[in-house]
Amino acid sequence: MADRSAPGGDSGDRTIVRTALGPHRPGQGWNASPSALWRISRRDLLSLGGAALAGAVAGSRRAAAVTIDITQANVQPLPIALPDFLGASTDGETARAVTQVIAANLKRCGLFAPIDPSAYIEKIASADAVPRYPDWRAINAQALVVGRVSRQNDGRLAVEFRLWDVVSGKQLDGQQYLTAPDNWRRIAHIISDNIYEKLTGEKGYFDSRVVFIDETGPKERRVKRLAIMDQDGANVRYLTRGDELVLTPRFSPSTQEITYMAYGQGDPRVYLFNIETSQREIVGNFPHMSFSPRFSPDGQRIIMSLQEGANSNLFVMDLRSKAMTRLTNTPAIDTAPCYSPDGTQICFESDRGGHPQIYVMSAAGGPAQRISFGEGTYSTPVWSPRGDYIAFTRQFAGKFAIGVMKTDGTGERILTEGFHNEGPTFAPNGRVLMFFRDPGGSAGPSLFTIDVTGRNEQREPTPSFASDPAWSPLLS
Amino acid sequence: MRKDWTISAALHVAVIVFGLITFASTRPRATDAPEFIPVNIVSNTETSQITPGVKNAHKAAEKPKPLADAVGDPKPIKQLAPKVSDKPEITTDAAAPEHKPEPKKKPKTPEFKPDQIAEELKKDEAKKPPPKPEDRPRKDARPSPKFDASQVAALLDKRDPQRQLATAETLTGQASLGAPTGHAATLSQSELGALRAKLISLWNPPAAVSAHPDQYVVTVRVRLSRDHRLAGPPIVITSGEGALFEATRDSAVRAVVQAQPYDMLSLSTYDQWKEMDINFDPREVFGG
Repeated sequence: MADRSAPGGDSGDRTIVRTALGPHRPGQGWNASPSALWRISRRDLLSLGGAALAGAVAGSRRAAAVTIDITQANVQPLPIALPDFLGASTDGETARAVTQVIAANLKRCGLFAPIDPSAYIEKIASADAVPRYPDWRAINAQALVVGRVSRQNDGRLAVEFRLWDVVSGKQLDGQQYLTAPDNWRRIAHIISDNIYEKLTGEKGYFDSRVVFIDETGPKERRVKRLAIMDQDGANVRYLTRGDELVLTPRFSPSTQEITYMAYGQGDPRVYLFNIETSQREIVGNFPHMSFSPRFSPDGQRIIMSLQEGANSNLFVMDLRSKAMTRLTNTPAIDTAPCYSPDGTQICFESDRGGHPQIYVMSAAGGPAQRISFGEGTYSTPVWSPRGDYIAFTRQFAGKFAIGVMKTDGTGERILTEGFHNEGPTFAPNGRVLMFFRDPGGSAGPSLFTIDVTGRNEQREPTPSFASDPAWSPLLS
Repeated sequence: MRKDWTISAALHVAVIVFGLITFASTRPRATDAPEFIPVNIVSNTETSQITPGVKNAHKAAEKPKPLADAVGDPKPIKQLAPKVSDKPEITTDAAAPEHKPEPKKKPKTPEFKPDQIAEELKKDEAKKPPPKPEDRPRKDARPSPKFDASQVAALLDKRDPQRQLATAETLTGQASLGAPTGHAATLSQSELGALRAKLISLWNPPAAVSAHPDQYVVTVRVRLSRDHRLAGPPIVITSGEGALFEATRDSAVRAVVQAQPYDMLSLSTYDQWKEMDINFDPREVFGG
């Protein structure tokens, strides 16, 4: 059992309590034959298991007569069945909504293929019983999620689910969550993350949020407001009123804070904004522009650019002591800094070589090494939370492209290209990027997601035009 | 001018006439189907590959006996009442005349081959003077054990065929010919190819292994029974930990379970595929 506190709770107790549901009696799914030959009692199973274990230990020492190497595969979205969660009359609607959110998450990420519910053969009657595996294999499902939504005596919502591998015939996961009823959407995202992790082997990213610039009004008088929403576009909330220009919001990796740049009266400034309390403060007091802020991985420092004459240099500010440290001192524009996830290095954009390119240096400053060498200019570098890639915007031949390269600058890949694509930000698991795209003309920008592989481009739903997305870390 | 015309016309006519004559006489190319030459493909596996066994075994045992579902040997019928089989006369009546007259007559007409009808006629003739059982001294007071057509049915074994399930060891008590360390993989390339193709089509490893595919090679040991299904749960030999290892492992196990039935493998090579180690290797899958 583990406690998970829900940040962002602006009303009531939104604590989430998690309980693991023990594994069920394993079925005999490995033998697809429907015969009762293998319907054996639990005691048989135990002795059999012991014998199998002994056999496995003894048997693994010698090789089998034939060894087959499978060096190719058929990588495709995993077919998964998600029958509606069960729920008593009043909770039935919530149960269905939870199922739909999970199904939408899994479908959107491109790694799963939810099966049309009209094909289901078995009607799930109990969230605890072992499903009839042949019924699910018959519709080519490989995984099955069953669940139940109920109400506790104290009014809390209880959502439980079990994830079944219907091919091997075993339970892969089972959890129960207790939370406030209006928090059901987060539970759906957390369950989605559980399923994602069990089946893909990687942490999910569904229980996360995105802060972005919401843009409304005509092009000449665009109102730009800071907004936040769930990763799937739900629960949009506006954080500023739109009476000032806001740009480049960035999430704190550890606290419910964001940092952004805003034009108040006069020069743009870097601000710190608490999502829970809606309080904001200006970061430092500098004679000129301060811009392009970003948190350090521990959330204790903010790295940013400060204007110095016609140039700008990188500084880091400790949020507790307010001490400023200079990192670069060049007669060039150094900007868009971003820490590596381990906090030891910084990638940034600089035109010290003539055109804006991407450089990497130690987090303590010192000499920087250029890593981008393609044609055109490179900007907005951002380090993957996995540490494996740096994403960037590349401008070349009148087009803006979003791409990734390894952290030493090799293996550059362009993921998408067009009239105007900009501002990549990584999902918490480093598998997906979000960016904004402006088609030009009278239309405005909108948000898109794309896999780091360049596949599965999806438009992110937003209430109106949107730009400058920044993905939060996982909430739990 | 006129002369030119005439020459030209004459030449054209000549060419056309020549063409009509020559081309008309050419026969269309023969389109007969090419003759097929029957070819026996002799695989070198028959001679070069040595199956496990002992060196001094009987040669006849080289080819393994069919192992499963052997039908029991027909047993002598004991329970049928009339001792028809005791009487040699009945059997000799039917069988002897066929052969007895032959040696007699063949020398007489060595160049003449008696046709079937003639033979039949001779048989009939031979049957006419049958050695009557009455001629012999009676041993018991039973009614005549004359061959009775209605008794023929009694000769049949009316028992249901008994299928005797036997394991390989009991049926092939005699060792096959071969070297003690013989290890021939007599699975044919087409069987292996079909098996690989099926597993490839069913293996859907998590894409996340692409970062370090060499760390996620999973070996699954499968034991198969003669009905081409798994004889027990697949055993994952590779050990590892972490969500990604578990997801990769589960994807390999799913492929092995879904590949049932393994009917691309023929029963004659069962010894080879009753236990297999299958390496699921993602290194080339993701171009790593």
